[in-house]
Amino acid sequence: MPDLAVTTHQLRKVYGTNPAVVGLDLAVPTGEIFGFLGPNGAGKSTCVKMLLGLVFPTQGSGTLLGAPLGDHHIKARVGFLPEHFRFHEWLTAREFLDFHGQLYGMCGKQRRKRIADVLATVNLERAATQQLRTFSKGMLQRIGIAQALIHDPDLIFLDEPTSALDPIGRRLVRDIIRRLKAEKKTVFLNSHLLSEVEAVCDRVAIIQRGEVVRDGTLDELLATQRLLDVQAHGIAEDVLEEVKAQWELTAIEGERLTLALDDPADVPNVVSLLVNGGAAVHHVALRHESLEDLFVRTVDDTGA
Amino acid sequence: MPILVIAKITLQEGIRKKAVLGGVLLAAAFLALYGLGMYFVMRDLNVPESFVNPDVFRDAVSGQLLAAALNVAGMLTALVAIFTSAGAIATEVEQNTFHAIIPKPLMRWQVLVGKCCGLGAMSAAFAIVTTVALLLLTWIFAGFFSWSGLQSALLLGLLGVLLSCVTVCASSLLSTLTAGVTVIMLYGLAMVGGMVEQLGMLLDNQVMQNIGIISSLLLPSDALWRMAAQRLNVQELAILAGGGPFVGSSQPTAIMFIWALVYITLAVLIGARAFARKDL
Repeated sequence: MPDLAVTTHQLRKVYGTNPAVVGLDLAVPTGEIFGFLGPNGAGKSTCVKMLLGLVFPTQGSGTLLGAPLGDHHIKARVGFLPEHFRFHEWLTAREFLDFHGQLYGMCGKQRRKRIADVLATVNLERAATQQLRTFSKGMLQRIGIAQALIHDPDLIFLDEPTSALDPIGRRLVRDIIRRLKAEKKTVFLNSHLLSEVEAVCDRVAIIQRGEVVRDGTLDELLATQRLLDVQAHGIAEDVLEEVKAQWELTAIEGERLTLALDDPADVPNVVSLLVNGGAAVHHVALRHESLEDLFVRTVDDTGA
Repeated sequence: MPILVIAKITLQEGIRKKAVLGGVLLAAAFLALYGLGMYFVMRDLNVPESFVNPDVFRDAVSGQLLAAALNVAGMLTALVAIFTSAGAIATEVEQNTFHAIIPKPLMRWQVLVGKCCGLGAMSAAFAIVTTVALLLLTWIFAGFFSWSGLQSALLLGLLGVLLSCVTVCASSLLSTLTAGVTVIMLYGLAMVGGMVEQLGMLLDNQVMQNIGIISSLLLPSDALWRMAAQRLNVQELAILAGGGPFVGSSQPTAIMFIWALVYITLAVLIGARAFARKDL
């Protein structure tokens, strides 16, 4: 059993009569990049807030780095970039980081060194003396990441860290996350950008209506199924029904079909069924399922 | 340590807020007007022939003006304290500012106490500087300096701390607007209650006096102001000048001072408890 950086056991949050999170069970191994996915309103942010003490669970328990939720000493080893944040915009970037460093109890010398380091990490050295109110949304997001890293934490929660970033900013964040992984840090990444998650995460959990509906390592989840993209002209209704009966049709768009295959050896069977039914097959390609495919299929299956 | 960090950032933020700037500008205008008024009053003052010593009459008039000005200083302090503190918790909750602060290694009560310290220090500094400026202007233009008026400055400073802490407490329970309106209404209630008590003393009406005492229990702001006015030591002088509305005949007891301190403590405790249970 690996060391676990984050665990939750039947974590539940109810607002009035509306359950936001129902019985959430999570286990995030130390040193991994963990992607936390789900459609809007699935309860992702509420869950992160419960882990960080912003929202109080109605029921259930959990741990961060082995300490029970709410243990404020452990917070010195945790960093957090909130999704919807508003920082003290009248501070300069350096003053802002100094303030957050002080909240972590860092001494002046430590703060000066770490401020220079994290400003370089997020590529904002030249904006160090600029007030935050003059920052673009992307710069604010990067300074937010800097404040999450100022104390060199072991566990970092990033809630939509790339939502306001351009492609270069996204690549920067991806590189930061990879560097954190190399330093054996644990990153809890909450993001809608599935390609970003797929590029950096070791493990993901998909939640739907406040509970985990699928989780595992990316290798496990994406290796189980392959997708067959087919472009064919003149597919008869009865042939399409027969295809649906034998394989899972995950998408249909005009003359393009996507089928989920458990066995790659089924490819010739699909093609011969279509050709024998009178269809003209123009293109066939077998590929691994992407995280986006998995996400859509999971959310569809469980009823978005 | 976290309390000091929060107090410092709150103080810095408060100083940059428009409410404080507005209060400072209003106070500057008020002080200028007061100095000008005092200058002309003293220049054109006709001392009645019945007064053997004209200086006593001059001190009586300037003392009365000073007491009136202290009343305005108290109101300005109240407005600055309430307007700067009304959003201390509620606005930051609405704007998610706490999302980056609460996950840090600090307790929520430390955040609230830090805010009370920062805002209280700012309001107290405003009250003390304004009151000392009034004393100096009175000395410059009327030659009368009330040394005990320095105690008045401290009491008015305590009024600022009281109203800041009460408003921060309200801000942890209510929205920004509702918190501000609620404390202003409480402050107005206490002020009217104080006036009723004064009238009760003049008319020897116990019911009216009790109304004043109850209003001071609800919020001891008027009691603190009356203590501050009393410390100016202008009552006897004012009687010589015919009395006036700003030097009351009923003075709060020391118990009311202790109640003010207890009230501040209770406000901070209630605010901290409410904030500690709030989902952010």
